Amino acid sequence: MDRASSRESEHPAPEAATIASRLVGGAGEPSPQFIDALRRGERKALSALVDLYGPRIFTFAARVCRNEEDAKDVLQETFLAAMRSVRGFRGDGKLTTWLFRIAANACRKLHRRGKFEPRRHLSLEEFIPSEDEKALLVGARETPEAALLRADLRETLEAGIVSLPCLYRAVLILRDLEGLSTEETAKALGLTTVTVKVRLHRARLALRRRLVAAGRRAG
Amino acid sequence: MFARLSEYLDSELPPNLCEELARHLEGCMPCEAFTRTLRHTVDLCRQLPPRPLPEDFRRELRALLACERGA
Repeated sequence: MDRASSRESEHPAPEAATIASRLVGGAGEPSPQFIDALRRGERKALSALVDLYGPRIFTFAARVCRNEEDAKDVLQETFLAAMRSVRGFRGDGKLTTWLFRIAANACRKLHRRGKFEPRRHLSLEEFIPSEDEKALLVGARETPEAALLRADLRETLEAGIVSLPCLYRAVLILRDLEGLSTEETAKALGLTTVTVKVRLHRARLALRRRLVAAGRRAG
Repeated sequence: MFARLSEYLDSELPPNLCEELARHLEGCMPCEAFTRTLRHTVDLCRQLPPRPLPEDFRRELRALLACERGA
C-alpha cells in the first residue's frame, strides 16, 4: 500500500489538540458533537481524530503485526475506512472499540497477505506450576514482585507481547494495554466473551512466566 | 480455579467463586505468590506507554484524510 503524498500545502493544525481535548467527554470518549463533525468531514475533526487515536491504533498495530511499517499501513487504512463509514457509526458502542475493530480487520488482511505465522495454541496445563516452581515462589530470598521490579523488564515485556501467538496477542493488547473491557474486546475482535477470557488468561500466564524467568536471571 | 485466576483479578468471578478462591489464597502460600506475580504482570502491561507516532507520518496522514475528504 502506498502512502499518499499530500496534494495540498501543509497547514499546521495547532488547534487540533485543543479541539481534541474539548471534544473528548468525561469517560475519554468523544462527544456527539465530535462524531457529528467527523460525519461532516470537518478538517479539524479529522486532525483531532489523528491526534486522539493515532498513537493508540499505531501501537496496537505495531505490536499485532510486529512491524512498524505494516502498522503505518494499518493506521492509514483504519482512518480512511473510518472516514468513509463514519456516517454508519450509530454511537451504540464506543468509538474506540469501533476503531480497534477496523484496525484488527486491517491487521488480519495484512497477516493473510504476508508471511505465514503458524497458529499456535497455548494450553492451560503448560502453565500450572510444578512443585519445584511452587517451592521457588515461597522460598525465594526476595518476593517475586521485588525481583520483577528490580530488573528492567520493559524490553522483556515488549518482546514477550510480540512473541505471543497471534490468537492471544491482540486480546492481551486490547484488554491489558488499551484497557478495553471484555465485552468491548470481544466486539472489536469478533470473538465471544468466553474466548476473550480464555485467551487473555493464557496470554497473561505466558507473559508472567517470561517475566519471572527474566527477573530470576537478573538476580 | 487455576483457569479462572484472571477473572478473579478482574473481578469478573461470581461472588461465591470469588470468596472460595480468596479463602484458598489466604491459606496457600504458593498460590498466593503465583497470583501476586500474575497481578503484577498485568500491572506492568498497563504501564506500558504507547509508541509515538512519527511526526512526518502524522502530517502525511492528516493530509491524506483531508484529500480524501475533498475527493
